[in-house]
Amino acid sequence: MKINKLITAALISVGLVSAASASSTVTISGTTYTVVYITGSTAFRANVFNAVDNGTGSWATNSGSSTLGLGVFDTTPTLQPTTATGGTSVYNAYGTINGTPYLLSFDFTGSEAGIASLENSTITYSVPNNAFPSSPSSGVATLPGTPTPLGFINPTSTGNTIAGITPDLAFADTSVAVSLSPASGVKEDGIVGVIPFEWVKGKSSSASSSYTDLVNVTTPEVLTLLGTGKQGASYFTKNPSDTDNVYLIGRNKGSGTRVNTLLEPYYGVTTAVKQYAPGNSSYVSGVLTVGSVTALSTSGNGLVYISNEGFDAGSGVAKTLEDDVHGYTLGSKGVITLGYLGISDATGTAIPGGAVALTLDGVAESDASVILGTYPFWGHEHLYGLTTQSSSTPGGIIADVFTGLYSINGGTPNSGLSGNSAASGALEASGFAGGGGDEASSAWATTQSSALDASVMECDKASDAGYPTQQ
Amino acid sequence: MKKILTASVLLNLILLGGWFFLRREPPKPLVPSAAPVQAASVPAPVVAVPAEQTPPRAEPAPFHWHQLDAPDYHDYVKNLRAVGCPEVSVRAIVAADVQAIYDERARALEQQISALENGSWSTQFSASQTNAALKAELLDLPRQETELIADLLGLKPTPAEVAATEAPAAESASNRPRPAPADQDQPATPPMAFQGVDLSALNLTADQQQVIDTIRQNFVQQIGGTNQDPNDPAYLARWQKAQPVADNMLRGMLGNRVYEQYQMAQLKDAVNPNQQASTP
Repeated sequence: MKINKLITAALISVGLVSAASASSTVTISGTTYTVVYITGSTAFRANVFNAVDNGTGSWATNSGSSTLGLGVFDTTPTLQPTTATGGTSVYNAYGTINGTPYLLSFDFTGSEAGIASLENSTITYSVPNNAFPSSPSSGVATLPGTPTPLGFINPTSTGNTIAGITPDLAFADTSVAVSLSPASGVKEDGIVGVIPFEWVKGKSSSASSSYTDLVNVTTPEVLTLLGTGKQGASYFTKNPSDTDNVYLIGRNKGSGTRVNTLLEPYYGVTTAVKQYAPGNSSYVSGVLTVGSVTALSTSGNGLVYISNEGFDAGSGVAKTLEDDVHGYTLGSKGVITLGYLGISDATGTAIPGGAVALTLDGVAESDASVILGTYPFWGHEHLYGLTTQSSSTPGGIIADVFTGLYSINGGTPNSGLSGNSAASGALEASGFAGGGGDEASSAWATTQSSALDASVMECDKASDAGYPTQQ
Repeated sequence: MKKILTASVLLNLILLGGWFFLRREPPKPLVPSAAPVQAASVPAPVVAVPAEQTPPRAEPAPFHWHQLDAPDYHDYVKNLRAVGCPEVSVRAIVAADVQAIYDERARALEQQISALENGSWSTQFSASQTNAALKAELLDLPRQETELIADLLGLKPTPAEVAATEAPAAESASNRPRPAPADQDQPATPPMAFQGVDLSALNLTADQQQVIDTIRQNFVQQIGGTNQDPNDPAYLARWQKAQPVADNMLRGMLGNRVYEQYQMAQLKDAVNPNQQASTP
């Protein structure tokens, strides 16, 4: 795929960006950049950031050459804010792509919100009447990021955000087929990776026997926990002496991570779950947001039942799992928190903070187990755009860049890694546990990449639901 | 041809009856029916005997065709044989009677199939399983006919006879869409989302009903739209690929519990086809 020459964009007043339409232009320090707005999956944002911030040169520039660039931009782009990392949901990055100035503006709001925002659809959901500060009094909340994201940073006034922008592109952990919005007006640009997930138990600074024994969950046990929100530890460990209770920590309806979690055991994406959140959470801009990492206790930060509600971002679950459960009791029984996370949030936040990953049906998540099909808890990462998109529109051009990075030279496995399977890939980079692309080397048995190249998979799922079968 | 044969047989029987009359032998008693209720309805032969007179020599009762009748056709065949009807004539009578029944059944099935296939695409989708069942029954009629004839005659059909009745099915198969080589044995069944189910009984949420609509739309997209040539093997291949995906998606979106309720409702409606099914 080659980048077409940039079409002449409409000139607008210096320093002003159109607040009504996507793909406008902005002039910064005398250079006019075409702006492309991107939203979607928070679980995949780290992988996107790695590709955006990569300074080895762009694929677009080097496509077809023996020296393949691994980044989106020709050189390391300028970031707004400069402190943006893989865990940042809102940032701008600008520079040249194949010699043409572009500014990519990101506001990752979740897979479901991302798909809905491409069509300006609004997703609402019921919010329990709980004791969290600033919870919606009407009992109904609008999914953040719908009908449009609210947080795109104004590139010429970085302290301000731009609202009402219909994004050009959205990354999603599932296809529109399982989306809660009709999504009939979006264009699939392609699958850009395989994104795994795993179950993680929260931190305990002094493990009880129940905590120690809880090392695995099975699909039927997951099915039960999703519907009850709370189960005795002995239900999982089969040891009647394990008397602690296990509480489910999870995401809201807008999360692709949640959709994959409900699909994997055939729980039903449309079926309500029962979840809990720590007491120091609150509603910020209408979304349930986690508070600071604080040990759970009955005197200030106890678990609160939140029904079908959940955190808007994976970081909410990850940080909750960092809350120490040791010494905390609920209903006179010890507490273990259990949550579902993308690998990026699990290995980048929760586990370094003291949480512990569990096996699923006896299998640990790893590049190897995902590639071979022995570990089924993963989904396809999709890139969607507007139906008006074409190879000559800015959104289409950038979509070609992302899909091209993912699948260079017709999708030859690891061909985008300069032929070195151990090198850091672009969209495949784990970011936290070694270099991406290790799936082809001996390290793949333990490496946990936050996303994998679908072309190296030795199994596949025919749809979003179901178990992988070997190819 | 068969009518001539039947007429010939009837003439033979009349002559046979006349021969019996001349022989002045009373008609042989009818074999009692297997069902007690039916045996009571079999008329007994009537012989008039004056009570107060020296009984004259008994006149044999005239033969009547209905004397061979029996509520159970098996008994009728026995009666034919009992009166000495030639076996070839018995077989001809039985075959003619059975064929008449199955000709009527085939005409009825063909009319139903034609009505469904000429309906709107939504009718075709919602009734595709019924349509398939009707076609399967139509193709099976020759086998049923052969087996019934053999049963009534007290015979077991030979494999050659059964195979001969399958020849018409093989002939009609050449007119049906050839499935993709890897899926020759897999019929084209409609996805669960298109089964006629009374959704109101499932208490589905608005989200769940939306899911069903979306899956239907996606399926139609996957098979290439509604105006497809049913004889196109590529169409069949697309259908066979898209159908399990649609079912899997329905199960994933609704969950095992609701999906199983959906299946049970579909089975229930299949048993009671007159029950109105509502769709979103």
